[in-house]
Amino acid sequence: MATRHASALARTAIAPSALVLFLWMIVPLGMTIYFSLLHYSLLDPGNESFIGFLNYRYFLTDPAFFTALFNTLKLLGAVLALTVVGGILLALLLDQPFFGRGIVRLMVIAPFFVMPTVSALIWKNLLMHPVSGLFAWLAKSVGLRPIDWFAEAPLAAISLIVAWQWLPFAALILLTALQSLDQEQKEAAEMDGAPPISYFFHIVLPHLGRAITVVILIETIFLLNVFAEIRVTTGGGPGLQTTNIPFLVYAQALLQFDVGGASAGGIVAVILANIVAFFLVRMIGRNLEA
Amino acid sequence: MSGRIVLRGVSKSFGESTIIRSLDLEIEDGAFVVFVGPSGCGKSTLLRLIAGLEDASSGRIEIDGADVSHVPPAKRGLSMVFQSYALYPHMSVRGNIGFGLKMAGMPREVIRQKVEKAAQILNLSDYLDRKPRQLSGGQRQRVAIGRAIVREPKAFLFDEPLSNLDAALRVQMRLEIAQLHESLRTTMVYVTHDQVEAMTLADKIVVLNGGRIEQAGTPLELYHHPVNLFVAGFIGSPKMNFLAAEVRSVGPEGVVVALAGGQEIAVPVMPGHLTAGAKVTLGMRPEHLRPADRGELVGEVAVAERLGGETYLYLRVPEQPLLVVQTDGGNATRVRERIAVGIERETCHLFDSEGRSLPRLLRHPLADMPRPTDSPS
Amino acid sequence: MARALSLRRRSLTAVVGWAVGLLLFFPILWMVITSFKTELEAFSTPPRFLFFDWTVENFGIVQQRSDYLKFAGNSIVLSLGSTLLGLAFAIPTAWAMAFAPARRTKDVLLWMLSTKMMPPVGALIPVYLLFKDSGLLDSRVGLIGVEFLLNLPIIVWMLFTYFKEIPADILEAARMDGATLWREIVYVLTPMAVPGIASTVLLNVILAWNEAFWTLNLTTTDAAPLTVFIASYSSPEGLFWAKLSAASTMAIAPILVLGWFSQRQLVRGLTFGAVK
Repeated sequence: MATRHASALARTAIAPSALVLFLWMIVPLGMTIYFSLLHYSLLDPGNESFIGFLNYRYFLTDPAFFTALFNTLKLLGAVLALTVVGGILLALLLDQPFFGRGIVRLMVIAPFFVMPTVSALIWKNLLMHPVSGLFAWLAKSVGLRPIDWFAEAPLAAISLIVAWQWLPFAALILLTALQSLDQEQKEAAEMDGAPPISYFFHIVLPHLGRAITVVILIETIFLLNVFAEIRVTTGGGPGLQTTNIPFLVYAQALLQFDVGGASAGGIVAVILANIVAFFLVRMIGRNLEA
Repeated sequence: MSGRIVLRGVSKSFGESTIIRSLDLEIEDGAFVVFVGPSGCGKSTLLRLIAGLEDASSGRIEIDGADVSHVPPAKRGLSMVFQSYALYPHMSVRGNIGFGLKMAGMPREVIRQKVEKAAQILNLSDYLDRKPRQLSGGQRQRVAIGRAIVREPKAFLFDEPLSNLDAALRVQMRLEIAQLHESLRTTMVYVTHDQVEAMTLADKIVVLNGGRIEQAGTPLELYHHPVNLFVAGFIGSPKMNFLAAEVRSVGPEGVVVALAGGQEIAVPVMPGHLTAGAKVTLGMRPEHLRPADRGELVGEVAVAERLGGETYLYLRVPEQPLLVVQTDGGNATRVRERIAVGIERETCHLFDSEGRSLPRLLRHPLADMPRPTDSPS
Repeated sequence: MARALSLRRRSLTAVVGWAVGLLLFFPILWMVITSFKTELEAFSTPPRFLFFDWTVENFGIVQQRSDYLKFAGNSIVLSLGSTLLGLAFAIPTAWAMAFAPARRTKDVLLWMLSTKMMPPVGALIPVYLLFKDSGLLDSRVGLIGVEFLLNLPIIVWMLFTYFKEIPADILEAARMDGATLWREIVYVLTPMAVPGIASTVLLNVILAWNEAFWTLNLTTTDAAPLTVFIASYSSPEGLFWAKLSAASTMAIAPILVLGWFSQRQLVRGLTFGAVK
């Protein structure tokens, strides 16, 4: 559609963005790879030396790594489960017309727009505090022992907070997909006398398949990198119970000042993300054909 | 200033596929030329090459004597009316019509006058301050035309402008465009897939197929003297009937052919290279077949389409494809009746095994008639 | 469903809907209510929802003691700055991709989007060290640069989808009307793309405002936006819930409002077109 004149101009128009993003990709990644092969500690500056893959050995054999890995996956799994199931239910609910639906929708969407540090601190203090928090009060009113979330089930607490933040995203995406369900398909199913449950499983769910795939994929990208909520509530603890891979790397870099080791960790995180993405896309690749 | 357009050896390829093969065409100043053909034949592409919205892969394009092959659209002195009208949604009718003049740097007062004059001609004066979304389809079309007129171009380009209108509006706009050409006398290049529009509007029709010009000529020339099967089948609705036949003999009075059912017809065409035994195709337009008691073709009516003014009978004749016969609206023949249809030898067409038509011995008197409205210049 | 649902069905749905909505919204609501309590009131049990002595002192205290306005200012500068910078780069890029696509265009676009999938920890160390050595640590400029790079793919993507919705023949009509490329962009493309550009700005301001990885790691005091400001309440002395609530309310209020208007943009921008 374009003439020669426009094509040349187009290339100059794309170049700055492409260049800037290319540098943003290559430079830090390249440097991280480079650092990961060095002994480089900010506590011992000027004494950098090449040590090959030693940092990787240390990082990967460190028991902390495995804990962090499992925590990462546990967090990912829990939040995905909560948000996808919750999202479907919310989408079904919001698809029905009822009085004040618009306002309810706004209320459901709101958590996504709250900054992570606020969410985390409000949940930790106002809601989950074992003595004065609202949950504690609720438990005591029905005769249950209040849970000290951040001591007894810190990862669960974090999962809950993150799930609360991402539920609106899943709900919105799934609602959008739901509303694109052809009105005529619905009516055809009615004419065929399909009961609601069977209608849901045989028509609605397959139609949502693609949207669910997208939700899982996008959430995964972000959930592998949960950071702020952890830093602001538990600092990775107690012990390592809420340390995930990103936090582990952060701790090594900016708290222990081990640049070499942390860099190796960073690269491991990148590889991990790629592996997860690869399997995810493969597993549900069919649904994603654009 | 002349609106004469010449194309020499113009071709266009998109990557691997060639849309237009080396093509030559001359469009006279002031002529109304229609590009017509099936989907994908390249007619819109050709128009866009003339407009400058696409670059030709090879060849030359001349407008008013100047080579414009590498000149951007803005500088070719042309105006285009798009199929979807392509009005600027954020501008009023006034803004839309005057945009081109604004781009040309004309003073505001001049623009205002020209816009109002164009609006008057097109009956848009009451709508000048409305936005496109507040207009009906026909009104939007007129705005698009107004936008084109006001720049006083060397030639107008129309890309299927009537396709988005309903049938009644289409007929009305067809007349208005014809009248526009009357009054402006500017070259118009018009693309359509509708052969009725082509027949009624054109001084010259260019039939395109697969990126090649099959035939270019006056409407009646194409109707009476199509050069091949494609043009013969394209022009005229319902489509011409094609029957397989074999040459029996050739002579100075024409060619005698025999149909599958044995019927023999002497067709008044020049024999050319044909010899006895050659396979040919006999073409007969539905309007040239008439029910006749002792007609050569006998068959059973499969479908009868009654339009009121005329009736189309679809005939199942043994060993032949379904024949279409046009009859008067008062014809009472019913489905499953057997009737006989007579062949008029003077209106038959004959095509050789490669689809080329054999030239008629007599040229139809109207085929070369210029449109009565053409100026004798 | 074309038929009217029974009143009972609709009432039931309404009850469930409102219950669910209030439940999910409750933390935010509770936070806002708490910001109007005294510290003592905020920490005491049983918690009171409506009938307590409402006060606005916390808002004042937060500003006085920790200079809320400075952090808010930083958030504003960060969000707007990175988004406008992003627009400057992205508008030509998206224009080129939408109207003059080459064979590789789709690939380049997908690659740009893929840069958002890189775990930030992979770049944390070099960026931190580079910033440290060049004095960009805790600087507004440095932070704007990083946020700009983070959001550029999304801005390009969103503008691309909006530009693609502009019918090509309107731009061609402008060309036939004598507009040069520049005038085509100024007089026709941009006015038609304004709603799309506004939506993109909206979403990206929100994303930049809430970003909590780089803001936490690259700033301390001077350039710190509200995300960092709130984080400072993670280990304060004494009673702080009411102040935390007040600070949080102020921090999220503008974004909550913007967010309510940007639901559709959210879907478009963050699902990369896979969901319509």
